[in-house]
Amino acid sequence: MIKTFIALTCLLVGTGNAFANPPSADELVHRYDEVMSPKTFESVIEMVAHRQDGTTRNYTLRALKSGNDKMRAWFLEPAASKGQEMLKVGDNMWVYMPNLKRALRIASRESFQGGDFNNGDIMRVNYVADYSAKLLPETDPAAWGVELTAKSDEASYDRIRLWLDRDKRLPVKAEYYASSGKLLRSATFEATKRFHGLERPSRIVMRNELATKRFSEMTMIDMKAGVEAPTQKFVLDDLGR
Amino acid sequence: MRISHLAFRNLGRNKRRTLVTGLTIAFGVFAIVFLQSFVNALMRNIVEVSVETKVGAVQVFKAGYLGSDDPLKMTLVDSPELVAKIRAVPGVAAVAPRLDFDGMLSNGSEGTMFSANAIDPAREYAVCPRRATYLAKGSKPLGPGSEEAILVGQTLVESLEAKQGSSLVMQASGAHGGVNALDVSVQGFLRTTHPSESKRATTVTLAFAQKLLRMPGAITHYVVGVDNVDKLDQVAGRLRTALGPDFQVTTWRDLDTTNAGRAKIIAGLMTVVTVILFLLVMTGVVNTMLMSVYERIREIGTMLAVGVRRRQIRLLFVCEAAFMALASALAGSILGALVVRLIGRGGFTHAFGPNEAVTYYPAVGGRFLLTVIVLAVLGALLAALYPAWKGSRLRPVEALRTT
Amino acid sequence: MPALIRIALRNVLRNRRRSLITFSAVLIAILATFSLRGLANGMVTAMQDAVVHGQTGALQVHRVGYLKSTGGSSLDLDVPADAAFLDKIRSVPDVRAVSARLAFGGMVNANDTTSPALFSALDLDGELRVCPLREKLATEGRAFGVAEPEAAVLTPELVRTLGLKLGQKAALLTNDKEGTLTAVDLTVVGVYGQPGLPLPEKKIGFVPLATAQELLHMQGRATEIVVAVDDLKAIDQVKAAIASAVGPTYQVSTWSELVPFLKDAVTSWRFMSNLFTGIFLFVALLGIVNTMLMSVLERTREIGTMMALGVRRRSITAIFLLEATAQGFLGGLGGALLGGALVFKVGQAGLHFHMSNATLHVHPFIDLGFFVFALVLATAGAVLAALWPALRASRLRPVTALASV
Repeated sequence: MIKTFIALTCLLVGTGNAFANPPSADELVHRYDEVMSPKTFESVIEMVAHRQDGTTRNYTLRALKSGNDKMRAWFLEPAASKGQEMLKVGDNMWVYMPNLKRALRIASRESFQGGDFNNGDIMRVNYVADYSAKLLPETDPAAWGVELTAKSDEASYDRIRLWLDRDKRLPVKAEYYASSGKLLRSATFEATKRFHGLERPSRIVMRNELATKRFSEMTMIDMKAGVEAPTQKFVLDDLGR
Repeated sequence: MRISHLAFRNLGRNKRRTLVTGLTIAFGVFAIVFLQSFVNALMRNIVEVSVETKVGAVQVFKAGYLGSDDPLKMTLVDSPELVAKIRAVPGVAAVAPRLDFDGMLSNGSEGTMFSANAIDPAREYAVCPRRATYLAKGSKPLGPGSEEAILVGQTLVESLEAKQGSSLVMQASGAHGGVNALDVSVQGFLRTTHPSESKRATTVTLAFAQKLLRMPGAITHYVVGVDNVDKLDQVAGRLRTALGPDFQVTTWRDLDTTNAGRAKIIAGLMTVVTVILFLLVMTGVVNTMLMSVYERIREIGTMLAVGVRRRQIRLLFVCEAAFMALASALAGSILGALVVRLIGRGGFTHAFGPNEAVTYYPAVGGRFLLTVIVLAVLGALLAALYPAWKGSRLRPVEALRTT
Repeated sequence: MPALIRIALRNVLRNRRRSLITFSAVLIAILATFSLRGLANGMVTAMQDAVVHGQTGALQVHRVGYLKSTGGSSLDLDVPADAAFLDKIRSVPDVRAVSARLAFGGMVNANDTTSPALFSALDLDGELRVCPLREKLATEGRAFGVAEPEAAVLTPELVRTLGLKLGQKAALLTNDKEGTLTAVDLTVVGVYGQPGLPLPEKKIGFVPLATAQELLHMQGRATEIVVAVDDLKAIDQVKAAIASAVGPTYQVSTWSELVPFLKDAVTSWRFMSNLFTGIFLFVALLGIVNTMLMSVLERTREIGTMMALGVRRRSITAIFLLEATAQGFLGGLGGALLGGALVFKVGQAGLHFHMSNATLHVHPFIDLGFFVFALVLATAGAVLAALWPALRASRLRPVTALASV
């Protein structure tokens, strides 16, 4: 469930033009943020989490993002989760349970999902603000590579390597590194689609490089950028309405 | 006092009688000392397991750490000044830092959660010496230089299909930022008492933990070793005063409630047992005293006929009892202390389970010996009262007539 | 020989005082030993009982792999908890009662604080049949009744962390069997403080089984089946019988396999109590030696007279030994009966030891084997103790003996 939020961070709206000249690192990072994480957007996503023992878990949800620190989600599938909602504002996170008619706070550091990662860290995606970028040597003729280095201690990953294709400047691959240099996660961005005029990868497969039996797939079924995201939608009281 | 002289001479005059009674008291005292030494051994064992293996005698946390839902945000900085301040408190023997954290251990394809204590091998064993020995057979404790070596519970390792020497990856997140991951090598296995421990427990080095969590110099608490385990509460109190409200000082009883409960039960029971034993010995003394009185009926009759007061006769018997008790209690306790010291040096090893051979170290304190001697003398006096009274009540004529 | 016995017995009866003293020495020693033994027995049983009748039951049935699994959610490795399966186990001979439990992890939310906790869902009705000590599940407040699906009993640590009071509500948040978030509101009706050994985890919540099954979408399922047996000594046979009844997908474990450290605790207790009993008996024996010796010394003239009359040295030894036998046996019997009665009385009332968060109720008792053992020991001990004095007596020189006082 929480893993859906990895995916959410990778949503993008693309209007981008493909430039012919080698872009600067900053341009690429801007492009990534623009495509994957526009200021406000609404989306419907399907998540498939592949667990260690080979079983899968499927979730579908509708999400609304505003700015860099507000996110709201409504769960649609499986049927048992219908009516559940999640809200993240800054470092605080709550889950709304319809049968209780109220929201419960979740600690962002908790690991009741199996200890894979922190809930809070995944939510924060603003590469431009949190990372400084540098171009990688051109090894792949089809893609531009950038290396992002965390600007502060608070970033989820110490280093991220991103590759965007030269044609449309859409992300194709990413690698996420810990400060020890170990590769923690890797992601591939697939199945480019148009969503209301925005072109972007519709599926992201995220792998846990330390426990390779685990991976997640996130498929965007629909999305719309630039929607209205009034602040009142990100208030505890609004949950359940 | 003339009576005391007489008492003394009486004791000397009838050596055999004195000896027999004296031996009873001596052996009784010996038995009590011996019993207590084993009780002490048992208690010490419990405390050892808890204090010297796991949690240490006294612990110093930042105020608010215990009960916080994000403990890694309530850490202390490992500072020589703070350590010196703690060491300056009388009764403190050694101080060692610790960093407790959770995370995930994986073998590349699968991962499982763990709970770790990070120790500084250079300082830890001065406070918790048994950490070096309380391991599974064939495992060595963490030492300096083995930064990425870890010790784990058996079930944990098995679930990752790893064994001694295997390389694994440890992931954890510190107070800030996301997860970090480092390679670790399984140096050995911990000896765990509970299956749930075996699934989760891990020990790593402090340097490694600080590197992994990206929290240089951070610790969750200090463990403090004390000179005298019996006085650790006083030391804890002094620490509280010395450190002030920014810190929280706890003892092993607060953290290891299982063993604390066990210790309490045993303490209670053993008091009962010692009391019973004491009464047992005392009845023996009463017996012997009574016999002694009856043996000396003619003697008493003679004394009465000669004009000795009944009161003086009572006093005489009581004095005899006191002197004899003192001498034999001393002998018994000295002998007991020597035997205990002999056994206690090497320890008394008893194998319980397959890998559970426990060594008990019987010991008695000087204060206890003194208490026993005093109680033995008092007891003998009490025991002698009835026979003495009986003796003084004899009718001289009948007494003289008895054979 | 019969003549000697008669003489010995007459001697014993004739000198009431002396015999009484020896008799009482043996009696008190045996009494003390009985008390200690009864206490040790009670302790060991209490510890074992606390676990068997208060926590684990005699046996448990799990899905193969459940106990060793370290994964986050072991709800996949569940067992059936329907009537058919339970009856299958119940019909195994010597099985007294069967009950299902669901163990799962989750978070407790209250007062805007959240804490992880381990949960154990019980069918309290069946649970009390397998673990009768669970009647006192809660020290403060009470356990949940059948008509209270939304009640919970929490450990003191959990209550403290969340700042809860009895009667207040807390939310339980966890993932169901499919991984979907699920939650339920519960009222805290009791604080856990069951008599027995403290639990391994500090933050535990007890909830009704039906509530958990609904919460986790595991209706008719459980994580373990707890079994009580008629006779703990036959536990291995029952284990094998259940294993063949349920089949190879399930694993049957005894209480000592589930809580291995308990056996060590019990063994060390027994060892200690045997040691102490030994010390007691030794002291007792010394006392007997003492009195025997005194007795001989007292009767020097009597012995001298006997010898002068022509009684053989051997016979004198025999007389003393027989006297000792009689006194030892009678004293032992007296001590055993008295000790047995005392232990019985105390055993009925029970002793209560208060530990940090639980109370241990100890009911001392004496095993019949020990009864016989103590009796034999008392008699043999008295004889042994009298051996040296008796020999000494027989070696007296009649002349000197007659001359002494």
